[in-house]
Amino acid sequence: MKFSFLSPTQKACSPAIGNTDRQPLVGSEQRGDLITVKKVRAGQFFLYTTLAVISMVCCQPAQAQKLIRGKITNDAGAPLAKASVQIKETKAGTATDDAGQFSITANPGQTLLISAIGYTTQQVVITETSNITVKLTASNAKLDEVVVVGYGTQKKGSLTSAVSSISASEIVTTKNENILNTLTGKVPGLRVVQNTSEPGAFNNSFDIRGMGNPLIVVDGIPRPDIARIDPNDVESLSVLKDASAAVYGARAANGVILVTTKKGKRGTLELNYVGTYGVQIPTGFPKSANAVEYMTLVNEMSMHNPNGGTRVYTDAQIEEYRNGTKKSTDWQKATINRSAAQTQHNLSASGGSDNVTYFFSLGYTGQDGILKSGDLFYKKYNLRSNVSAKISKDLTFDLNLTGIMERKDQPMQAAYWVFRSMWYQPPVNPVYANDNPQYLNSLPNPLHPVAQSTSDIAGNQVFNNKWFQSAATLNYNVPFVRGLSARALYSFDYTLNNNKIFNKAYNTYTYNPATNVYTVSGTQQSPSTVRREFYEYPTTLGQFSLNYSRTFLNAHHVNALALYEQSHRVGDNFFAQRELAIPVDQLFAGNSLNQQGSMSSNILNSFDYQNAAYVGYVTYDYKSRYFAKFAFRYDGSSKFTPGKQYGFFPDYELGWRISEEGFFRNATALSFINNLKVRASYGKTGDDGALRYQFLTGYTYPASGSATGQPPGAVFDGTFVNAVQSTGIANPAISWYTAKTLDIGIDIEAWKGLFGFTIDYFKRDRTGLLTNRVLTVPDVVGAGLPQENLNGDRNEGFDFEIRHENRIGKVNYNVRGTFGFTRISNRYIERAKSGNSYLNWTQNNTNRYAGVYFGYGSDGQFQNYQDIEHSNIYVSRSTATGDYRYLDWNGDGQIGVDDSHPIANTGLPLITFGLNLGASYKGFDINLLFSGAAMVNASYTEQLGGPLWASGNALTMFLDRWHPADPNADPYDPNTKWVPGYYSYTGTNAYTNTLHNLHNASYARLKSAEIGYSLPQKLLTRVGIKGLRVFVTGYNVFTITGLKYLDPEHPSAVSAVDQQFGYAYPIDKIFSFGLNLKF
Amino acid sequence: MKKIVYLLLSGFLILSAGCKKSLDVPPTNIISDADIFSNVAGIDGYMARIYSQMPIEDFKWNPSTGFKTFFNGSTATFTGEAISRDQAGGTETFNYWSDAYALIRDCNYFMETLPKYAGNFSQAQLNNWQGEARFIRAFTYFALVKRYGGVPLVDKVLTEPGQAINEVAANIDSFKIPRAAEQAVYDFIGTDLDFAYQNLPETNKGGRANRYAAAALKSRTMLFAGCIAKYNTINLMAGPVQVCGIPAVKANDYFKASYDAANLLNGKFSLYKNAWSATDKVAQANNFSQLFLDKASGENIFIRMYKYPDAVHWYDYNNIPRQLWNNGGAAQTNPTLNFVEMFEGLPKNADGSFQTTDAGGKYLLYDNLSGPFVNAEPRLRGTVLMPGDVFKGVAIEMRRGIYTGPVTGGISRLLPLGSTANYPSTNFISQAGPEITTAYVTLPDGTRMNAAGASGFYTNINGVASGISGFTVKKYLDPAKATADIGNNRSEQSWIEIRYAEVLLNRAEAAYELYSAGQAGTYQTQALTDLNAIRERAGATLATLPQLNSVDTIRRERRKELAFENKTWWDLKRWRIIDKEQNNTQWRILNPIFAVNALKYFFDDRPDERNSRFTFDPKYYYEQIPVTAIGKSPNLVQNPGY
Repeated sequence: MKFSFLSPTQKACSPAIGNTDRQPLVGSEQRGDLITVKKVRAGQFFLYTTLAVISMVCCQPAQAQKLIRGKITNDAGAPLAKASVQIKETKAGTATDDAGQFSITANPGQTLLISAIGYTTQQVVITETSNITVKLTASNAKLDEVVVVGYGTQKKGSLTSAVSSISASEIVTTKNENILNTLTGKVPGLRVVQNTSEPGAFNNSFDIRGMGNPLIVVDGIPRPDIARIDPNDVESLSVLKDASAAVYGARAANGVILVTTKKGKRGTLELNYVGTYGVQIPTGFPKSANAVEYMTLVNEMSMHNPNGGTRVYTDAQIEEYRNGTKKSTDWQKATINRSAAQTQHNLSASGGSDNVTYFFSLGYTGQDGILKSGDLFYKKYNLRSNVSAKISKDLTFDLNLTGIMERKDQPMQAAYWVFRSMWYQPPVNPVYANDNPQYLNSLPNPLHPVAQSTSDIAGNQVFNNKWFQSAATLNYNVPFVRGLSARALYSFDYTLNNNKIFNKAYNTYTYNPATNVYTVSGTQQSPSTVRREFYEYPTTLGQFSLNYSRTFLNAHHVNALALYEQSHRVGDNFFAQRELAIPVDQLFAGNSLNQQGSMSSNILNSFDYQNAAYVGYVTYDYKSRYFAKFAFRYDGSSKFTPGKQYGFFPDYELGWRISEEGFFRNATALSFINNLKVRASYGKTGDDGALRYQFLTGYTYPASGSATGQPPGAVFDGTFVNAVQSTGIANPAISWYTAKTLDIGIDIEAWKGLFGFTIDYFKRDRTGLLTNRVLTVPDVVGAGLPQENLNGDRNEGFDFEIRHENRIGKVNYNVRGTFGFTRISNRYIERAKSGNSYLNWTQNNTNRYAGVYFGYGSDGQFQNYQDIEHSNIYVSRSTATGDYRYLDWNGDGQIGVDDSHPIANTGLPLITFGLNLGASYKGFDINLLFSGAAMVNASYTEQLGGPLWASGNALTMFLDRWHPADPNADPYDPNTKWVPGYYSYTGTNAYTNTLHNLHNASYARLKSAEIGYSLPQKLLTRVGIKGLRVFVTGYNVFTITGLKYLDPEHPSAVSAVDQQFGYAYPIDKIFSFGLNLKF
Repeated sequence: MKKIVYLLLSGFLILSAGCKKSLDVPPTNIISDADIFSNVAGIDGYMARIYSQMPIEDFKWNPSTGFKTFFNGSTATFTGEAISRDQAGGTETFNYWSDAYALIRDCNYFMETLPKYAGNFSQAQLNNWQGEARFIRAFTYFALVKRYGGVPLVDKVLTEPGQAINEVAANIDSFKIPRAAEQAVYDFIGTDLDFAYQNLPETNKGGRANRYAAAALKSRTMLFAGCIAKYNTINLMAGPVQVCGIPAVKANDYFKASYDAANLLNGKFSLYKNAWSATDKVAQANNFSQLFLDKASGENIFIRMYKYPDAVHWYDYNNIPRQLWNNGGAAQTNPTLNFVEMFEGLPKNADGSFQTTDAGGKYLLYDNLSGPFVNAEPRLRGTVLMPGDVFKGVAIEMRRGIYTGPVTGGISRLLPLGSTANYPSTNFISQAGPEITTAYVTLPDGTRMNAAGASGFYTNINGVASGISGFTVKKYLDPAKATADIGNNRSEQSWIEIRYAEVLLNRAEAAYELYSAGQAGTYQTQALTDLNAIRERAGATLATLPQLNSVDTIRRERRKELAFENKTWWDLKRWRIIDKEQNNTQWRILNPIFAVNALKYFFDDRPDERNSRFTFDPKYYYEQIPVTAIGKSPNLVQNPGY
C-alpha cells in the first residue's frame, strides 16, 4: 500500500473530539469512532460537530495563550458546581463555581478535561472561541465500558450477546504462575479446574459452559496457548459464550476467549514493577504409612481370609520397628520437600507522545518443584513490545511483538511416576544398601523414587519452548468518507519445542554384611540413551478489512465490517536418538548401533493447514434503545475434501433496552433502575478440531504400534521392516460439527452502581459429532468405517453475575458473585441395537445426560457380625465386619450387575461459582476470592483406591479403617471386637463403580486472598517514586469440602483428565509477599 | 482521496474474489495404493503389517488380555503345566473376532489389488506374495475356528474401493453373513493352504512363510479338525448348518489330510541336534534348550522374529529366576509337580507320582538341593529349572523353609499327604520376603542360612516375585542375556511357531488315530518311528511297538515335547479332556526344605499353597461369540451355554 500522498503537516493534527484514550485493542481504532458516536446525546451533536470543525481549523501552528471562559451544565442544562476543568497537556486546572462557571488560561489546540463525579468525562479542544458551554452526561460507568468482541469492540451498554469481560485489575488480584488460575470463579460460565501445580505443566481443564476447548484469540489472532501469557500484560479478557463467536466460524463452536494485551498511553514514561516471592505447599497430599503401620496392615490383609488367616509379621518383628531397633524408611522424606519456592517479576514501561505510544514488558517466572533432588523446576521469560505510531493524520501503524522462552527441567521419570513409586515402596525397604548413600538399595520392585527423581542418577528431560508472536497493522481512516476506515494486518508466529531426553542407566546394590561387600544386583533403564526432539509450528495470518461506522439523523447508529482473512499453519518435527557409549547427555556421545532418527506422523505434530475466511457484520442501534446485529463468517479449511471446504456461519442478535423507553423513564417506581436490557442471540458455529483427513483413502506409514505391544512392523531376516497401515474406508462427505447456540440474557443496573445483575440462559445443540458407524457395521467387513457426522448433543444451563459497589465513609468496597450451571445431554448416539430392553436401558445414551456414571449404590457398612449374619441380601463367606454394603437396587436379594444404576455424573463440575470481595480504606486494600464447584465427583484407583495396592505400601488415610481391636483375633469370629473406621477392613476395597469408591468432590475454597498497603503519595514523591504498594497474597488458602483426605480439584479416575492415575503432581497453596512499584 | 478509497475497495474485492482460495493441501502423512504396490519395499511394508497382526500365540499372547498387551503371569497356568503368582486359570476372556476380520480384509485386499500392479513384478514374486496372503488368511481362520467353531467365511473385500460411505451403509444387511459350518471353515483353510503350498517358494526370509510352513500348518489344522470330528460332543445347528461340531464320519478324512500334509516335509527338515550326543545326557539337555535360541536351527519351519528396539517382548523379564532378576519381574512360570513327574529319571512311587518319603513314611533325605534330580530326563532339564540347577553360572536356590525339629529316627510328613493346611509354626521357619531376614539359622560352619532360598519361596506370595512351586521354567530363557538387559522391553528371542518336532508328533498322532480306526497301511509303525525320533533326541527311553498301545502315549509325548510353547492348551481342548483334568483341581508343588539338625534336604509334595483351584467349564470348548458382534449382526448364532 502507498501512503505517500499524505502531507507531513497533517500528521500533527489531534483528533477533533471524542475519546482520545486509545483502546488497546486490535480493531479498536475503528470502534473509537463508534464510541464517540454513542456518547453523543441529544443536543450535543451540534456542539461536537462545531468543535470538530473548529479543531480542523486549529490544526495550525501554535498560537498565543488566551483566557477561556465557560459553563458546565448537566443534561438538563442545570449548572454543575465543583466540576473539574484541567488542561490535559499542562495539568493546570480549576473548578467551576456554584453557577457552573469557570475560567482558565490555555493555548488554542490544547485539550480541556472536564469531569464531575457521576458524569462522563469530556475533552474539549480549545479553539479561537473563548467562551464555551459543555454539557456533561450522567455517566453509567458500567454501560460505557468498552468490551472486546469478535473483530471489534462494543460498549457494554450496546451488547446484544453473552460476553463476559474482565479487566486487568480484576485479573491480577489473584497471583499465580498460570493466568487461567487467576480467572477461576471470576467469569460466570467459565469453568477452570487446575489439575496440577507441577512447574511448567500448565495443565488445566477449562471450558466455557461445558462446551469443550474454546478458541483462544490473542490480540485478534488465534494463538492456542493462553496459560503462559503474563497476567501483567493483559489489558482485558473477553469470553464469547454464545453465537457471537460465529465470526470465528468453524473453530468457534466451543466459544472464544479473547485476550487483549496492554498498549501504551500517551504521557510521560511510567515504569511499573510488580514482583512476588512465595512458597508453594501441596494441598491434600497423602502421607505414607510407616513400618509399624505397614506391617499391621499386611497382617490384617493376611488374616482377612475366611479359610483361616495367618500373620505375615510377628509381634517381635513389628516391635523391632516400634522400639527403634530397626528404622522405618520414610520414603516421602527421602524424595520430597514439604514446600518449594516460587517467584514472579514483571517490569513494564509505557508512555508515548501524540504520535507514538509504547508498552514494553519483561516478565520472569521461576518455580521450583517439591522433589528433594531439586531437579524439577521451571523458568519462563516473557517479553512484549506493543508500539503504535501515527504515521500521518489518518494512518497509524502498530507493531506488536511477543517472545516467550521457557525451560522445564524434570528428572527422567515424570513427577507423577515418582510419587507413585514413593507411595508404593514399603517402609521396611531401606533407600540405600546398608544406609550408605553411595549405593542405591535393590528393591523388590524397581520403582526407586530417589533414583527416579534424581537427574544425576537416572537422567533427565529438558523442555525448551519458545514462542515468537508478531503482528503488524496499518490503519487508515479514510478522509472525507466519514466513518470509513481500512485496516491491514499481517502476523507471523513461530513456536519451537526443543527437547532433550536423557535416559541414564543406573545400578542398584545389595549389601552383604558378612563380607562387607556391595554387589550390583540390578541395572535399571539400560541402555543409557539420549534423545533430541525438535518441533516447529510456523503460522502466518493476513487480514484486510473495511470498517464503516456512522450515525444518521441523530438516531440510527450503524457499524459495519467486511474482512478477509487467510492463514497458513504448519507443524513439522523430527527426533534423533542414540544409545550412549559414555553417559554424557549429548547426542555425539552415542553409538551408531540402534540409533534412531524419525519423526512423529501424529496429526498434531505434522500438518499443513490453510484457512481462508470472509467475515462481516452490521450492528444497528436506534437511539440506544433497540439493537440488532448480524454477523457471519464464510469459513474455508483445507482439512476437507474439495467442494466441502467452505461453510457459512451466521449470527443474529437483538437487544431492547427497556429502561430507555418513555414509559419506563416516566415511571418513578422504576427510577431506581438505571438500565434494563433484554437481549437474545442465535447463530451457528463449527468445530473442525477433530478432523483427520478421513476423506482420503490410503495408508499411514509407518504404521502405529509399540515395540512391546503390536509392533509398528515386522522383523524379516533379522531386520525390522516398518509396516503400512490402511486407513480403511474413506468418507468424502466428512465435515465439521455444527453447533447452534441460543442465548437469552437480561442486564440490570440499579441504584447507580449499587446493584448490577446479568443472567443468561443458553442452549447449544451440536449435530454432526464425529463417530464411527463401526458399532453398527458387522465385523466381517473388517475395516473400520471412517468417522461420520452422526452424533448430536446439547449443552443447556444458565449463568449469572451479581455486582455491588459502594463507599461507606472512607471504605470503598465491591462484591461480585458469579455462578454457572451447565448440563450436557446426548441427543443422538450412533449405536448398534441392544439385544433387550434392559441392555438398551444401560447402553443407550441417546437423550440422556452425558457423563452418567453407572454403578452400585451404597448401603453403609456392616457394623458387626450380626449385620452380616442377618443380612437380607446374599453376602459371600469372606465378608467381614466393616465391609461395604451395596444397595440391592432391584431388590432380588443379591448384588449383581443388574443392580447397576446411574449413581453420579463424571467430568468437570456442573456448577461453578465464585465470590469476589474487594475493599479499600486509605492506603489499605483487601481482596478475597472464594470459588467453588458442585455436582462433581471423584473416584480413585491403584494406591488411592485401597491400601497395599499391588503389594506396595499404604497411605495413612487407610489407617482410618475397620479392624479387630486385637490384631490376633479371627476377623470371622462373631465375638471379635471391632474398631470402626471410614474404610473397610484391610483387604476389602470398594468396587470401583460404586458410591463407596465415588465421593462427592464439591468444594468451596478461598482461592485467593490479598492484603495490600499503598504508601502515602507525599512520602514517595520526595524520593521520586510515583507509587509503592506492598502486599501479601495467598492462593488456595483454605478449602471446605466433604471429600476426605484428598484435594477435591485434583484429578481422579472419573475426572475429565486422568492420564496419571490420580498421581498427578499435587495442587498447591501459595503464600507470597509482593511489591508493586511505580516510578 | 476518493481514488484511494476506490483503490482500497477494489483491492479488497480483488483479494476476496481472486482468493476463493484453493485449500487443496494434501496431508503430510497419508500415502496411496500406487506408492505401495509398485515396488518391493512397499509390498514388504504391507507384508510387515499382516505378518505382525497374525494371531500367533507367542510370548505376547495371554488368554486374559489378548495377543499384544504386556502382562505379568504365565499362559502355562491355563494348562496345569505351571502356576503363577499373577495368574489363575480359566479360559480366554478376550475376543479375537473383529481383529481377525480386519486381518482377513487386509489379506483379501492384497490378493485383489496385487494383480492390478502385476506388471511391476516377476511371476515368481507374485506367486510368493499371493501364497503368503493365503497362508496368513488360513492361519487367521484357524485362530477363529478353533475358538468359535464355524464362523462367517469372507473371501473377498466386502466394500468396493472408493465406495461412498452411504452406499456402504446401505449394504449393511448384506454384510450380516451367518456362520458357516465348522467343517466348511476347515475345508476353506485346507484349500488356502494347498494354494499356499503350491505358490510359496522353497525358502523365504526368516519370519515369513515358505511352502513347508503351509504344509506343516495344514497338518496341524487337519489334525485339529479330525479331533473335533472324533471327540467333540457339543453340536450346534444353525438351520441346516452345523456351526459347532463336525460329523464323526469325517474324522478319518481329516486325519489322513494331516498325515499327508506332514509327509510333504519329508527330507526337508530335521530335528535339531547340533549340540547333541547319543551318550552325553548333559549335552542332550543343553541341545534341547539351545534349540529354542539357535537362529540356525534346521528344525524351525515358521518363526516370528523380534528385534530390539522396534519389536520386543518380555519373556526373560517375566521368567528369570528370582535370584538372577533385574529388580523387576521374575519367576512367573512355576511348573507344577504334576507336569514334572510326567518325565523320566525321577524318584517315583508305584503310581508314577514323585516319591518324597520312604516306605516308613519318613522323608527321603538328600545332601543337596539337586538330590532327587540327578538322573532327570535331559529334556526335562532343558525345559525346567529344578532346585540346584545351574543357570548363568549360578545354582538356583529354591528353599521353602528350614525344619528345626528333631531328625533322629527320620522326619515324618509335616502335614498329611494332600493337606491344604499351612505348615505348622513350630520347628519350622519361613520367610515373608527378601526384606525381612530375621528368619535364619546359623550353620555349624558359622554361615547364616536364610529361611528362604535366594529364588524363594517367600510366604508373602502376593508381595514378592519368587518361585512358588519349587520349579521355574527354562525353555526359551536366554542364558546369554546380561542382567542389565532383563527389562520388560528387552527380549528378542524368535518365537518358533512351527517346528519339525510338532510335525512329527502331528503325523504320529494322525497315524495312530488312523491305525486305531482300522485304516489299512503302515500307520502304526510310522507313529512309532516318529515317536522314537522325538524320544531319542529327548534322551528318553525308546518305545516298542507293543508299548504304543494308546493314543495317550503320543499325547503325553507331545505334552512333554511342546510344553510351554502354548500348544498344549489347544491340544487339551481338541482332545476334549481339559474339563476332566481341571475339575476343581488343585495342582501339586514340591517344596525343598532344609533339616538343619541333619544338614540335609527333604522334599515335601503338597497342593499349591495358595489353594487355587482350577476348573474348565465344558462350554469353554466353544468360546462365546462376542456379544457386540451379534449386536451388529443378529443372525450370528451364539455358542451353547452363553
